[in-house]
Amino acid sequence: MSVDQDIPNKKEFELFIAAPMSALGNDEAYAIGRKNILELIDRLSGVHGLDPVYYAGATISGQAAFTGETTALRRDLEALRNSRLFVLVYPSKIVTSALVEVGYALALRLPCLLLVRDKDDLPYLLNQVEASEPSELLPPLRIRVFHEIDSAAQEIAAFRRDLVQKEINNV
Amino acid sequence: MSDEGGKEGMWSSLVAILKSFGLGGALILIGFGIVMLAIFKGPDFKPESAQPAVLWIGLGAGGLAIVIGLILLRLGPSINSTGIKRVSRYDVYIAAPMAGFGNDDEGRRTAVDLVRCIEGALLRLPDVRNVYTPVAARSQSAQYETPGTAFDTELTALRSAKRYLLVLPGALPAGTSVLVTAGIAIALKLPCAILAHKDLALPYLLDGAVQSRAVQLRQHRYTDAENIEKLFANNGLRLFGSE
Repeated sequence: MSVDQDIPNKKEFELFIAAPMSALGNDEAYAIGRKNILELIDRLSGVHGLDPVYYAGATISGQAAFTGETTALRRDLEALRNSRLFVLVYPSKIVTSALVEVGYALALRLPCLLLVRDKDDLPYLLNQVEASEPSELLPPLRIRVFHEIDSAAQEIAAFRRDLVQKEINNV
Repeated sequence: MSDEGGKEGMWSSLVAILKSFGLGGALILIGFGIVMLAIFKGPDFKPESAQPAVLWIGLGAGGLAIVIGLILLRLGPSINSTGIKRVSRYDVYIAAPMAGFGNDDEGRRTAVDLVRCIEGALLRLPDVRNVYTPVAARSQSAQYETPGTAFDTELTALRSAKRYLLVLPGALPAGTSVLVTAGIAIALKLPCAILAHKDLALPYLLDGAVQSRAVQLRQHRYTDAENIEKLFANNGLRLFGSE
């Protein structure tokens, strides 16, 4: 697994993964959510060659280890600006800062993949956005339902492959 | 052949300049060019008696082009942090989670009433003329013309807003769109303010954004609509940070 653990600087990330963290409420739920994302990163790196990946929870083993809101914000926004692709893993309908990161990524026009268990869990605005064509304002965006880590990894790899193909066709 | 090549080269250079600097920038460059020509080539003009006139006409025409260019640049759209040209159309964009004020019709009415009260308080400020809010524009989500329009409409409104105001109730509803618009506003580097109910715990990153100096986001706590009106009356646009 190759997860960048230090504060990201000039380095470019293949992928930024946003997922609920503090919103999960307790250590047990956080540990399960984190384990799933780390497995996903392993699969992306090992099977699909997607590397390096930024995931804020990679260095935070438990909720007591949260570094502080200001530092977290600075790291995340800097990593977002240095990523090629944005992926939201949104396993259930909850209040989470990951949705703030989606907005940030969309405004930066990062290609976005939203992985959900149920499309209706997404905020109304995001639920509708897939119907819009990519434009000067809107980056490529895809919403996919996932059930297991393996299918999530495949969706991410397919999204990236399609983006690369589109870039090649446009050259 | 070489003439045609020269003309093509000049034309493509002009197009490149227009693309890079816009009409205003191109006029400024052309103006400087004319002024330079008048100063350095004017004294070579034949007959000599016409030289002062050539100089003054050149300086006048160049100066005029520079002035018009500067005016066009000033009136033109600004380019924001995401590299897209932005025309300021709204003084404030107000976001509020409709479901957060109650899932029934009464909750929806409460949200609309509160936002209208804030809109009124803003419009009483001397520097505020236009306020946009999806809450008042479309008090029900089904009122977006087509499913794909909602996001485009909000993104366009956000990109043409000068400030972003987020009004949050005592508890945030799960999966609310306002967190997404807040992220967009932060990325656009809009001066942002959160009016948060006194009982609300902000999501982790928004809390960080309030504390961070890298993001222009101020937080103000309220108890009721009257309290909000007082906040605006006493502080005006300073609620958004330095004005």
